[in-house]
Amino acid sequence: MRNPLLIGERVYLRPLEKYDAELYAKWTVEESERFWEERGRFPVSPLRTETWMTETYESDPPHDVQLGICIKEDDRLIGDVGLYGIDYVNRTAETGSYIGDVGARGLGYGPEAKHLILEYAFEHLQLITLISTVWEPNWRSAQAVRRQGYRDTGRYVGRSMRDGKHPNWLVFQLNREDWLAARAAYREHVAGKEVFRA
Amino acid sequence: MRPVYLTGEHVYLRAVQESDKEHAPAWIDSPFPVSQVNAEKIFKQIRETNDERGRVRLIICRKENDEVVGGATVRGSNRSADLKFHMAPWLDDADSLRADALSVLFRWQRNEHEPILIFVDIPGDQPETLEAASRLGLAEGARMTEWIARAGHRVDLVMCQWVSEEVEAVRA
Repeated sequence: MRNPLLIGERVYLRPLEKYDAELYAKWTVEESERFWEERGRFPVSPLRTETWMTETYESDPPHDVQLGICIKEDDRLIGDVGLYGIDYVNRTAETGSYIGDVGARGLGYGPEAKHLILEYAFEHLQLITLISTVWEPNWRSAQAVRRQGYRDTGRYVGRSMRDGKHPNWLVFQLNREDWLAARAAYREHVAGKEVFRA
Repeated sequence: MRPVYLTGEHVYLRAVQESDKEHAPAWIDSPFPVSQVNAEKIFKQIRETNDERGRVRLIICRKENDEVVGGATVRGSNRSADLKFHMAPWLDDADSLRADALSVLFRWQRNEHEPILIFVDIPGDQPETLEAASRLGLAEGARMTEWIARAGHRVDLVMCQWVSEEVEAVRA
Protein backbone atom coordinates (compact mmCIF):
# COMPACT_ATOMS: atom_id res chain seq x y z
CA MET A 1 0.00 0.00 0.00
CA ARG A 2 1.17 3.51 -0.78
CA ASN A 3 0.53 6.29 1.77
CA PRO A 4 -2.74 4.82 3.07
CA LEU A 5 -4.86 7.14 5.21
CA LEU A 6 -7.70 4.70 5.85
CA ILE A 7 -7.64 0.98 5.25
CA GLY A 8 -10.60 -1.30 4.59
CA GLU A 9 -11.00 -4.98 3.77
CA ARG A 10 -10.22 -4.69 0.07
CA VAL A 11 -9.52 -1.02 -0.58
CA TYR A 12 -7.61 1.79 1.04
CA LEU A 13 -7.79 5.57 0.66
CA ARG A 14 -4.72 7.67 -0.08
CA PRO A 15 -4.03 11.30 -1.00
CA LEU A 16 -4.21 12.00 -4.73
CA GLU A 17 -1.02 13.07 -6.47
CA LYS A 18 -0.45 15.08 -9.64
CA TYR A 19 0.70 11.95 -11.47
CA ASP A 20 -2.83 10.51 -11.03
CA ALA A 21 -4.17 13.11 -13.46
CA GLU A 22 -3.31 11.02 -16.54
CA LEU A 23 -5.42 8.15 -15.23
CA TYR A 24 -8.36 10.47 -14.60
CA ALA A 25 -8.11 11.67 -18.20
CA LYS A 26 -8.12 8.04 -19.38
CA TRP A 27 -11.29 7.33 -17.39
CA THR A 28 -13.14 10.23 -18.98
CA VAL A 29 -12.52 8.89 -22.49
CA GLU A 30 -13.48 5.34 -21.51
CA GLU A 31 -16.74 6.32 -19.77
CA SER A 32 -19.42 3.81 -20.70
CA GLU A 33 -22.54 5.39 -19.22
CA ARG A 34 -24.13 8.53 -20.51
CA PHE A 35 -26.34 9.01 -17.49
CA TRP A 36 -23.41 9.00 -15.11
CA GLU A 37 -23.05 12.77 -15.35
CA GLU A 38 -26.05 15.03 -15.71
CA ARG A 39 -24.02 17.27 -17.99
CA GLY A 40 -23.12 14.45 -20.37
CA ARG A 41 -19.75 12.88 -21.02
CA PHE A 42 -16.72 14.96 -21.94
CA PRO A 43 -12.97 14.37 -22.04
CA VAL A 44 -11.12 16.12 -19.22
CA SER A 45 -7.57 17.36 -19.76
CA PRO A 46 -4.96 16.04 -17.32
CA LEU A 47 -3.70 19.64 -17.09
CA ARG A 48 -7.00 20.73 -15.63
CA THR A 49 -7.11 17.76 -13.25
CA GLU A 50 -3.57 18.53 -12.08
CA THR A 51 -4.60 22.09 -11.22
CA TRP A 52 -7.65 20.89 -9.36
CA MET A 53 -5.60 18.34 -7.37
CA THR A 54 -3.00 20.96 -6.47
CA GLU A 55 -5.56 23.52 -5.35
CA THR A 56 -7.36 20.92 -3.22
CA TYR A 57 -4.22 20.21 -1.23
CA GLU A 58 -2.98 23.81 -0.98
CA SER A 59 -5.64 25.17 1.37
CA ASP A 60 -4.99 24.62 5.06
CA PRO A 61 -7.23 23.61 6.70
CA PRO A 62 -8.63 22.05 3.56
CA HIS A 63 -11.90 23.25 2.11
CA ASP A 64 -12.24 19.85 0.39
CA VAL A 65 -10.75 16.45 1.18
CA GLN A 66 -10.45 14.21 -1.84
CA LEU A 67 -8.88 10.78 -1.50
CA GLY A 68 -8.05 8.16 -4.07
CA ILE A 69 -9.60 4.69 -3.77
CA CYS A 70 -6.96 2.00 -4.30
CA ILE A 71 -7.29 -1.77 -4.38
CA LYS A 72 -5.10 -3.27 -1.64
CA GLU A 73 -4.10 -6.27 -3.68
CA ASP A 74 -2.33 -4.35 -6.45
CA ASP A 75 -2.36 -0.65 -5.41
CA ARG A 76 -4.49 0.17 -8.47
CA LEU A 77 -6.29 3.54 -8.28
CA ILE A 78 -9.94 3.07 -9.31
CA GLY A 79 -11.66 6.31 -8.26
CA ASP A 80 -12.09 8.76 -5.44
CA VAL A 81 -14.24 9.75 -2.49
CA GLY A 82 -14.38 13.14 -0.92
CA LEU A 83 -15.74 15.70 1.49
CA TYR A 84 -16.50 19.05 -0.11
CA GLY A 85 -17.15 22.51 1.30
CA ILE A 86 -16.08 21.47 4.79
CA ASP A 87 -17.50 23.92 7.31
CA TYR A 88 -15.42 23.70 10.47
CA VAL A 89 -17.79 25.93 12.47
CA ASN A 90 -21.08 24.24 11.62
CA ARG A 91 -19.24 20.89 11.30
CA THR A 92 -20.84 19.96 7.99
CA ALA A 93 -19.69 18.90 4.53
CA GLU A 94 -20.94 17.43 1.27
CA THR A 95 -19.89 13.91 0.30
CA GLY A 96 -19.24 12.49 -3.14
CA SER A 97 -17.72 9.44 -4.75
CA TYR A 98 -16.64 8.32 -8.21
CA ILE A 99 -15.50 4.98 -9.56
CA GLY A 100 -13.70 6.01 -12.74
CA ASP A 101 -12.38 2.58 -13.66
CA VAL A 102 -15.32 1.04 -15.56
CA GLY A 103 -14.08 -2.49 -14.83
CA ALA A 104 -14.16 -1.83 -11.08
CA ARG A 105 -17.84 -0.85 -10.93
CA GLY A 106 -20.43 -3.15 -9.40
CA LEU A 107 -17.88 -5.06 -7.35
CA GLY A 108 -18.60 -3.45 -4.00
CA TYR A 109 -15.52 -1.22 -3.87
CA GLY A 110 -17.58 1.98 -3.87
CA PRO A 111 -19.63 1.26 -0.71
CA GLU A 112 -16.52 0.09 1.13
CA ALA A 113 -14.66 3.28 0.20
CA LYS A 114 -17.66 5.41 1.10
CA HIS A 115 -17.79 3.95 4.61
CA LEU A 116 -14.09 4.78 4.99
CA ILE A 117 -14.59 8.44 4.03
CA LEU A 118 -17.61 8.62 6.35
CA GLU A 119 -15.42 7.24 9.12
CA TYR A 120 -12.93 10.00 8.33
CA ALA A 121 -15.69 12.62 8.43
CA PHE A 122 -17.31 11.55 11.68
CA GLU A 123 -14.42 10.06 13.64
CA HIS A 124 -11.37 12.06 12.49
CA LEU A 125 -12.80 15.48 11.59
CA GLN A 126 -15.65 15.18 14.12
CA LEU A 127 -18.22 16.46 11.66
CA ILE A 128 -21.83 16.30 12.87
CA THR A 129 -23.91 16.00 9.72
CA LEU A 130 -23.36 15.57 5.97
CA ILE A 131 -25.24 16.32 2.77
CA SER A 132 -25.23 14.39 -0.49
CA THR A 133 -27.04 15.26 -3.72
CA VAL A 134 -27.85 12.75 -6.42
CA TRP A 135 -29.11 13.34 -9.96
CA GLU A 136 -32.49 11.58 -9.86
CA PRO A 137 -32.04 9.42 -12.98
CA ASN A 138 -28.93 7.96 -11.35
CA TRP A 139 -31.07 5.66 -9.23
CA ARG A 140 -28.19 3.38 -8.36
CA SER A 141 -26.40 6.20 -6.55
CA ALA A 142 -29.62 7.11 -4.75
CA GLN A 143 -30.01 3.51 -3.58
CA ALA A 144 -26.38 3.42 -2.48
CA VAL A 145 -26.57 6.53 -0.30
CA ARG A 146 -29.79 5.29 1.32
CA ARG A 147 -28.01 2.04 2.20
CA GLN A 148 -25.22 4.11 3.76
CA GLY A 149 -27.76 5.59 6.17
CA TYR A 150 -28.63 8.87 4.43
CA ARG A 151 -32.21 10.11 4.80
CA ASP A 152 -34.17 11.83 2.03
CA THR A 153 -34.62 15.50 2.91
CA GLY A 154 -36.09 16.90 -0.30
CA ARG A 155 -35.18 17.76 -3.86
CA TYR A 156 -33.99 20.48 -6.20
CA VAL A 157 -36.74 20.54 -8.79
CA GLY A 158 -35.56 20.57 -12.39
CA ARG A 159 -31.99 21.50 -11.51
CA SER A 160 -30.53 20.05 -14.69
CA MET A 161 -31.58 19.43 -18.27
CA ARG A 162 -31.29 16.26 -20.32
CA ASP A 163 -33.18 15.07 -23.40
CA GLY A 164 -35.51 18.06 -23.24
CA LYS A 165 -36.53 17.30 -19.66
CA HIS A 166 -35.63 18.80 -16.30
CA PRO A 167 -34.81 15.96 -13.88
CA ASN A 168 -34.57 16.64 -10.16
CA TRP A 169 -31.61 16.40 -7.86
CA LEU A 170 -32.38 14.44 -4.72
CA VAL A 171 -31.03 15.81 -1.44
CA PHE A 172 -29.92 13.51 1.39
CA GLN A 173 -28.63 14.05 4.91
CA LEU A 174 -26.54 11.74 7.08
CA ASN A 175 -25.97 11.95 10.83
CA ARG A 176 -23.39 10.00 12.79
CA GLU A 177 -25.93 7.71 14.51
CA ASP A 178 -27.57 6.74 11.22
CA TRP A 179 -24.17 6.09 9.68
CA LEU A 180 -23.08 3.84 12.57
CA ALA A 181 -26.26 1.78 12.18
CA ALA A 182 -25.80 1.56 8.41
CA ARG A 183 -22.17 0.58 8.76
CA ALA A 184 -23.07 -2.22 11.18
CA ALA A 185 -25.69 -3.47 8.70
CA TYR A 186 -23.18 -3.21 5.85
CA ARG A 187 -20.57 -5.21 7.76
CA GLU A 188 -23.14 -7.87 8.59
CA HIS A 189 -24.24 -8.00 4.96
CA VAL A 190 -20.76 -8.48 3.56
CA ALA A 191 -19.56 -10.82 6.31
CA GLY A 192 -20.98 -13.85 4.55
CA LYS A 193 -19.55 -12.98 1.16
CA GLU A 194 -16.58 -15.04 0.05
CA VAL A 195 -14.75 -12.07 -1.43
CA PHE A 196 -14.67 -10.28 1.92
CA ARG A 197 -13.48 -13.35 3.83
CA ALA A 198 -10.48 -13.79 1.53
CA MET B 1 -24.60 55.20 -7.23
CA ARG B 2 -27.97 53.84 -6.10
CA PRO B 3 -29.53 51.68 -8.84
CA VAL B 4 -33.23 52.52 -8.98
CA TYR B 5 -34.03 48.98 -10.06
CA LEU B 6 -32.31 47.52 -6.96
CA THR B 7 -34.03 49.64 -4.36
CA GLY B 8 -36.49 48.21 -1.86
CA GLU B 9 -38.46 49.51 1.07
CA HIS B 10 -35.56 49.74 3.53
CA VAL B 11 -32.43 48.84 1.58
CA TYR B 12 -30.81 49.18 -1.81
CA LEU B 13 -28.14 47.02 -3.42
CA ARG B 14 -25.25 48.42 -5.44
CA ALA B 15 -21.94 47.36 -6.99
CA VAL B 16 -18.81 47.07 -4.84
CA GLN B 17 -16.72 50.24 -4.57
CA GLU B 18 -13.28 51.02 -3.16
CA SER B 19 -14.61 52.62 0.04
CA ASP B 20 -16.39 49.38 1.00
CA LYS B 21 -13.12 48.05 2.40
CA GLU B 22 -13.70 50.28 5.40
CA HIS B 23 -16.81 48.25 6.24
CA ALA B 24 -15.47 44.81 5.30
CA PRO B 25 -16.96 42.84 8.25
CA ALA B 26 -20.42 44.10 7.29
CA TRP B 27 -20.45 42.46 3.86
CA ILE B 28 -17.83 39.67 3.89
CA ASP B 29 -19.16 36.36 5.18
CA SER B 30 -16.68 34.69 7.51
CA PRO B 31 -16.82 33.23 11.02
CA PHE B 32 -13.33 34.69 11.54
CA PRO B 33 -12.22 38.33 11.94
CA VAL B 34 -12.34 40.26 8.66
CA SER B 35 -10.22 43.31 7.84
CA GLN B 36 -9.46 45.50 4.84
CA VAL B 37 -6.98 42.81 3.74
CA ASN B 38 -9.90 40.47 3.02
CA ALA B 39 -11.68 43.20 1.08
CA GLU B 40 -8.57 43.91 -1.00
CA LYS B 41 -8.41 40.21 -1.90
CA ILE B 42 -11.98 40.35 -3.19
CA PHE B 43 -11.27 43.58 -5.09
CA LYS B 44 -8.35 41.80 -6.79
CA GLN B 45 -10.65 38.96 -7.87
CA ILE B 46 -13.20 41.42 -9.22
CA ARG B 47 -10.52 43.28 -11.20
CA GLU B 48 -8.96 40.10 -12.58
CA THR B 49 -12.05 38.10 -13.51
CA ASN B 50 -14.03 40.95 -15.04
CA ASP B 51 -17.01 38.61 -14.97
CA GLU B 52 -20.15 40.60 -14.30
CA ARG B 53 -22.55 37.74 -14.95
CA GLY B 54 -21.00 34.51 -13.69
CA ARG B 55 -20.81 35.76 -10.12
CA VAL B 56 -22.23 39.13 -9.12
CA ARG B 57 -21.31 40.60 -5.74
CA LEU B 58 -23.43 43.43 -4.39
CA ILE B 59 -23.33 45.60 -1.30
CA ILE B 60 -26.53 46.04 0.72
CA CYS B 61 -27.05 49.58 2.08
CA ARG B 62 -29.68 51.07 4.36
CA LYS B 63 -31.76 53.56 2.40
CA GLU B 64 -32.13 56.19 5.06
CA ASN B 65 -28.40 56.78 5.72
CA ASP B 66 -26.40 54.74 3.13
CA GLU B 67 -24.92 52.57 5.92
CA VAL B 68 -23.34 49.35 4.58
CA VAL B 69 -25.41 46.62 6.25
CA GLY B 70 -24.52 43.50 4.27
CA GLY B 71 -23.51 41.78 1.09
CA ALA B 72 -25.17 39.55 -1.48
CA THR B 73 -23.93 37.33 -4.27
CA VAL B 74 -25.65 35.89 -7.30
CA ARG B 75 -23.97 32.88 -8.84
CA GLY B 76 -25.39 31.96 -12.21
CA SER B 77 -24.94 28.85 -14.31
CA ASN B 78 -27.13 26.89 -16.72
CA ARG B 79 -29.78 29.61 -16.52
CA SER B 80 -30.17 29.17 -12.78
CA ALA B 81 -29.27 31.67 -10.04
CA ASP B 82 -28.07 30.96 -6.51
CA LEU B 83 -28.58 33.86 -4.11
CA LYS B 84 -26.57 34.29 -0.91
CA PHE B 85 -26.76 36.96 1.79
CA HIS B 86 -24.57 38.05 4.65
CA MET B 87 -25.68 40.76 7.05
CA ALA B 88 -23.48 42.76 9.42
CA PRO B 89 -23.31 40.71 12.64
CA TRP B 90 -23.96 43.73 14.91
CA LEU B 91 -27.39 44.61 13.48
CA ASP B 92 -30.59 44.24 15.49
CA ASP B 93 -32.80 44.33 12.40
CA ALA B 94 -30.73 42.01 10.18
CA ASP B 95 -33.60 39.64 9.42
CA SER B 96 -35.89 42.44 8.30
CA LEU B 97 -33.22 44.02 6.09
CA ARG B 98 -32.29 40.65 4.59
CA ALA B 99 -35.94 39.98 3.79
CA ASP B 100 -36.12 43.28 1.93
CA ALA B 101 -32.83 42.60 0.10
CA LEU B 102 -34.10 39.15 -0.93
CA SER B 103 -37.26 40.67 -2.39
CA VAL B 104 -35.28 43.20 -4.41
CA LEU B 105 -32.68 40.74 -5.65
CA PHE B 106 -35.18 38.01 -6.49
CA ARG B 107 -37.45 40.29 -8.53
CA TRP B 108 -34.47 41.75 -10.38
CA GLN B 109 -33.18 38.31 -11.30
CA ARG B 110 -36.56 36.87 -12.24
CA ASN B 111 -37.75 39.83 -14.28
CA GLU B 112 -34.57 40.99 -16.01
CA HIS B 113 -32.27 37.98 -16.26
CA GLU B 114 -34.90 35.33 -16.94
CA PRO B 115 -33.39 32.38 -15.10
CA ILE B 116 -35.39 29.18 -15.17
CA LEU B 117 -34.56 28.40 -11.53
CA ILE B 118 -33.63 30.50 -8.49
CA PHE B 119 -32.24 29.01 -5.28
CA VAL B 120 -31.63 30.47 -1.84
CA ASP B 121 -30.76 28.72 1.43
CA ILE B 122 -32.24 30.30 4.55
CA PRO B 123 -31.50 29.35 8.18
CA GLY B 124 -34.63 28.35 10.08
CA ASP B 125 -34.17 31.12 12.67
CA GLN B 126 -34.71 33.93 10.13
CA PRO B 127 -38.53 34.11 10.07
CA GLU B 128 -38.87 37.40 8.19
CA THR B 129 -36.59 36.19 5.40
CA LEU B 130 -38.47 32.88 5.21
CA GLU B 131 -41.77 34.73 5.03
CA ALA B 132 -40.45 36.98 2.26
CA ALA B 133 -39.26 33.91 0.34
CA SER B 134 -42.67 32.34 0.62
CA ARG B 135 -44.38 35.52 -0.63
CA LEU B 136 -42.05 35.58 -3.64
CA GLY B 137 -42.91 32.00 -4.60
CA LEU B 138 -39.70 30.46 -3.32
CA ALA B 139 -40.89 27.08 -2.03
CA GLU B 140 -39.10 24.76 0.39
CA GLY B 141 -37.28 22.15 -1.70
CA ALA B 142 -35.31 20.45 1.05
CA ARG B 143 -34.64 20.92 4.73
CA MET B 144 -31.34 20.05 6.38
CA THR B 145 -32.13 19.26 10.00
CA GLU B 146 -30.03 21.03 12.66
CA TRP B 147 -27.51 22.02 10.00
CA ILE B 148 -26.28 25.32 11.43
CA ALA B 149 -24.54 25.82 14.75
CA ARG B 150 -25.72 28.67 16.97
CA ALA B 151 -24.65 29.42 20.51
CA GLY B 152 -25.77 26.35 22.48
CA HIS B 153 -28.09 24.89 19.84
CA ARG B 154 -28.46 24.09 16.15
CA VAL B 155 -31.04 25.24 13.60
CA ASP B 156 -32.36 23.84 10.34
CA LEU B 157 -31.33 25.09 6.92
CA VAL B 158 -34.27 25.57 4.56
CA MET B 159 -33.33 25.19 0.89
CA CYS B 160 -35.81 27.28 -1.09
CA GLN B 161 -36.33 27.32 -4.83
CA TRP B 162 -38.38 29.06 -7.46
CA VAL B 163 -39.21 27.18 -10.64
CA SER B 164 -40.11 29.08 -13.81
CA GLU B 165 -43.18 28.38 -15.92
CA GLU B 166 -40.81 27.27 -18.67
CA VAL B 167 -39.51 24.41 -16.53
CA GLU B 168 -42.95 23.60 -15.15
CA ALA B 169 -44.28 23.29 -18.71
CA VAL B 170 -41.55 20.84 -19.71
CA ARG B 171 -42.11 18.81 -16.55
CA ALA B 172 -45.89 18.70 -16.93
